[in-house]
Amino acid sequence: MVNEREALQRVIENVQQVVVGKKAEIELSLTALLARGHILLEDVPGVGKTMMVRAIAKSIGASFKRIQFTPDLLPSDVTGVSIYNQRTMEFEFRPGPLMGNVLLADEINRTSPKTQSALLEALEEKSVTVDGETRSLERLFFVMATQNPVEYGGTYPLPEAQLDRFLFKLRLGYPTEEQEIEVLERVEFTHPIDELSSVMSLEDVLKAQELVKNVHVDHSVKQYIVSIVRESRNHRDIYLGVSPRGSIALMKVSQAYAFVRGRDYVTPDDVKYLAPFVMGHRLTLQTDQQMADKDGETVVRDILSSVRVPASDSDSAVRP
Amino acid sequence: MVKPEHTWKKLIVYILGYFLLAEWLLPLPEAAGTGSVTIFMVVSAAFFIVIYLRPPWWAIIGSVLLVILTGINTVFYEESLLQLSWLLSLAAEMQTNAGYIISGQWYALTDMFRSVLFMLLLAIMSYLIYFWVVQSRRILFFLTFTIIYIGVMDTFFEYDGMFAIIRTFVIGFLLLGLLQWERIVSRAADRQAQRKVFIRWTLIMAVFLIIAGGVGVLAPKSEPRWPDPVPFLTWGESSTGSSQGVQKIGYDSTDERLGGGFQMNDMPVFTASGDINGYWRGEAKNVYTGLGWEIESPDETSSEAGLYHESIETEEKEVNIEMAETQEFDFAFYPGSFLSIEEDIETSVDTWTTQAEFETGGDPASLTNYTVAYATADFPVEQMSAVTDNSEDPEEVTEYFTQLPDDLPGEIQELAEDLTEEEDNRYAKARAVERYLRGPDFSYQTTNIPAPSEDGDYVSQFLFESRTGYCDNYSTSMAVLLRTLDIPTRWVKGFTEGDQAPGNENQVEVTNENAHSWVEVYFPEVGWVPFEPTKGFSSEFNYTYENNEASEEAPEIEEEEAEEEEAAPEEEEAAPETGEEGEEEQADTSGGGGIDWRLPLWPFFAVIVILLGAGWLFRKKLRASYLLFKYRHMHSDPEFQSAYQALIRLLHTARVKRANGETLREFALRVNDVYGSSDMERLTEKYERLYYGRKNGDGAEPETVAAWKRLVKKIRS
Repeated sequence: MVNEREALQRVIENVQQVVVGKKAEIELSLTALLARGHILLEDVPGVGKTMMVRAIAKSIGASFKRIQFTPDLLPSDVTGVSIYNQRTMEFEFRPGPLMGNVLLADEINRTSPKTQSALLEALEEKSVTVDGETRSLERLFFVMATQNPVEYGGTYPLPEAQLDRFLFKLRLGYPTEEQEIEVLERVEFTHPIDELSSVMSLEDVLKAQELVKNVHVDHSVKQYIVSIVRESRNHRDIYLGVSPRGSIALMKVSQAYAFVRGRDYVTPDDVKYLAPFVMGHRLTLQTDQQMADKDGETVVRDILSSVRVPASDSDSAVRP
Repeated sequence: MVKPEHTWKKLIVYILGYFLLAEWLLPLPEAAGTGSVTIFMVVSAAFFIVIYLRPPWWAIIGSVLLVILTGINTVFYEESLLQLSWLLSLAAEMQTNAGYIISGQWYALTDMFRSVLFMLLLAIMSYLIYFWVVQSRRILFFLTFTIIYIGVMDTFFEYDGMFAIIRTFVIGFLLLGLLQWERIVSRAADRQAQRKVFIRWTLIMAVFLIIAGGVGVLAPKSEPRWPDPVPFLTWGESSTGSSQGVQKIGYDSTDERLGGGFQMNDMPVFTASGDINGYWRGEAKNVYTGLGWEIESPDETSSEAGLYHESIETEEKEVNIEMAETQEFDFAFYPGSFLSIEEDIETSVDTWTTQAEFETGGDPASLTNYTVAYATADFPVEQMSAVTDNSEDPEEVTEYFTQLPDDLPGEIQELAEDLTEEEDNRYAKARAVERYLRGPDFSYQTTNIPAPSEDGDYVSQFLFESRTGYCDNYSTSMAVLLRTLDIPTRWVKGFTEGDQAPGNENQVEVTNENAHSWVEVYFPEVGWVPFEPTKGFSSEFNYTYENNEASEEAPEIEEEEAEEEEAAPEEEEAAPETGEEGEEEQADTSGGGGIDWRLPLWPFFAVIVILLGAGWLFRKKLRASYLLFKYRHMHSDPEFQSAYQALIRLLHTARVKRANGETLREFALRVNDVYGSSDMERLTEKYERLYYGRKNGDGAEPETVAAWKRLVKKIRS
């Protein structure tokens, strides 16, 4: 366990060589990876989304694939297609990009719902069915989808049901002035991504994924998670709250995050830190709040500031 | 607890603290009738010394007990301290009082036991002041309380707090300044520089205090907004003179300032036997100043009072007066108009004040027993009613008896004109005013009567504001009202008839309670005719009508009036009326109750309130000290967890509260910021591991315990 954790720290350092000053996002991405979840990145182009994913993939020695979603992309372009091989007189399966370890699904909202759902089903089932044959995906499968929040023309926004298949919704944001100078300096001669080497084996990542399940979640912390989620169902700004799937996601993510932070137990701080990323895209705000340009994360933070954090036995109502 | 280093500066502030405590003891004689303040002062000084020397706790207790025993011995026993007998008696005393305490008979506690308790309280206070001044270097709380206390003492008891307030102000602010200094230097480093700055600091402070104090004392101060509340509370009676606001009833020669309530006093003045006839005259006064009465008239005397005109029918009578012990007057009290005195002594009656003065060889003398011959008159109403203007008044009468102050409020004259609008003669006008004053608009009361301010007017205050008062208010008002109509009047003071001696119709006893004042109006060809405007008093002056029918009618009216008025004061004051018809007596209500406030019981309540207040103020410190004690041997994980949770509650007391959505870690960072250390974070980490991780830690390591203690001490300071 100590080895895996050290390896994770090396991965973070490694990725930071390419992506300047985004340690928190890198950690969150690794958290999602360890929790076997996927990430939706919502940001303008050119802030380093691709670089980050590629660097992670490279650091853990995983294969990296990328799909640029366009309106004319077909489901088979994603999953793969069987082609008739005239020499062997047989249909031969040509795997799509889904059959890799790390996948960057760029501008996922630009493609048709049919193609979108082909991808998202794969995310949930961890397998694809092509021509009646079910093929399981790689054991380590991590998708980072992006969408551009600015250009909405000709897009197909992801439906709520599909949004919550993503563990996290993240933003990278622009670097600060110094960071941007640093970026310029790094890419002046060679791109650092080319020099990146693997610092953690795929096997270790899979092992870490197993270990995360052993991270202790105390009853009081579970209580805290449930309190937050339940509050989201009663909050006046929220039209539709977070489902139990959201509670599960929050717990698993917290476990993974605690693991990344080098702990074998979850603290309420983990939950509180992660809740906005996990819950923000899983709830539907009241219309007036949407009009007021309020987003889910803000509302979640509002909830967090009012839910009592259990700190002693007298704080949590029931104990087993 | 870390013992602070004792320096001479600390000694100074501690001594100043003692002076503050002494301010609490000084008012006790006035307020509580405590006799031996000095002994309490000495005892508390002894406590202060004991505590300052910081002996071990058993020595403190021993010394305190010794001091108390010595004090009690000095006050209550004549035997020497070393004799055994008084100790046994003391023990018995304590036992009895313990019984009283258990059975809740607080009022039965003996003086000695109260003194013991009081000394114990002083010991506690001494320690508290030591704690405030030397340990925590704060005194504002105690200072504030001291000032409030002196204010209360000054207001409610006959204690003059003026200099106490000045002393407290100077001592208190000096203390505040010195303590502030101590707090400042506790952060500074350079000792050498400190000394210089200290001297400068002290000098500047002293100069400021002297200037501020001086300006405060000299600056003009506005009058209190409210009348003195003392008349509300008749308890706390004391025999030491009268202070402003409360007077004692009795015959007093100065009436320059009238007003204020008074306390009843039934000291006998004289006993009279013979022909008793109504009010006893002392003297009359003619100049109304707006605040009271003064005399301003030529020094002319004659042998008789000559109140009545020659044409008036008079009857000569005699009465013997025996002055009570300690009562000495160099003039005679007499009913009616003075004629002569039987005793062989020179008497001269002042023409203007009608005071019959005794003299031997030109010097005033007093008599203890004398017989006065006097004349009584019947006042012919018809003749009095014939007077319609003042053209027939002698010039002197107009000159001396119609004077009014220049700044007399105009509303008085307006009222007088309203009242007498329908009357066309002097008698009817006088009666109208008398009727008005005896009417339902006014009520008779001897307590809670305001006195006018320096530029106020006594009559106007009574007529238009308070509308409650006693004889001085009524008589002065009538005299002044009539004077505004150019009717000559004068204000007469003396005594009412007095209480009839049991079994002897011809003997009355006159006490201070009978002191009274009334009005005389001048009628040409008749003389000075008395009127009784005071509600609840019945005049026994004889007004006669030539017409017999009318003559019978008039006394009837008087009687009715008298009956009504007799009942009125009873309702108003709910005090037993034991005096004669029309005279009243107000019992000292405090005397009859079961509670005797004169014994020092209330200081206990005061100190308990202070202790509770201090406990509340210092709850953080107390709690922290308690926690340090409770968790002094913390070893196991559960102990640590409980200590950590207690720490969170302590922080809550110290106003560093964990917000609802705040995690322990966030809270810890905040606490670290507040207290400038990283201990809270370290402790929180351990607690999180134990609580959220359900791990068995390796117990409370010495570093953890040290961090915890460090933090608790930091919170305490």
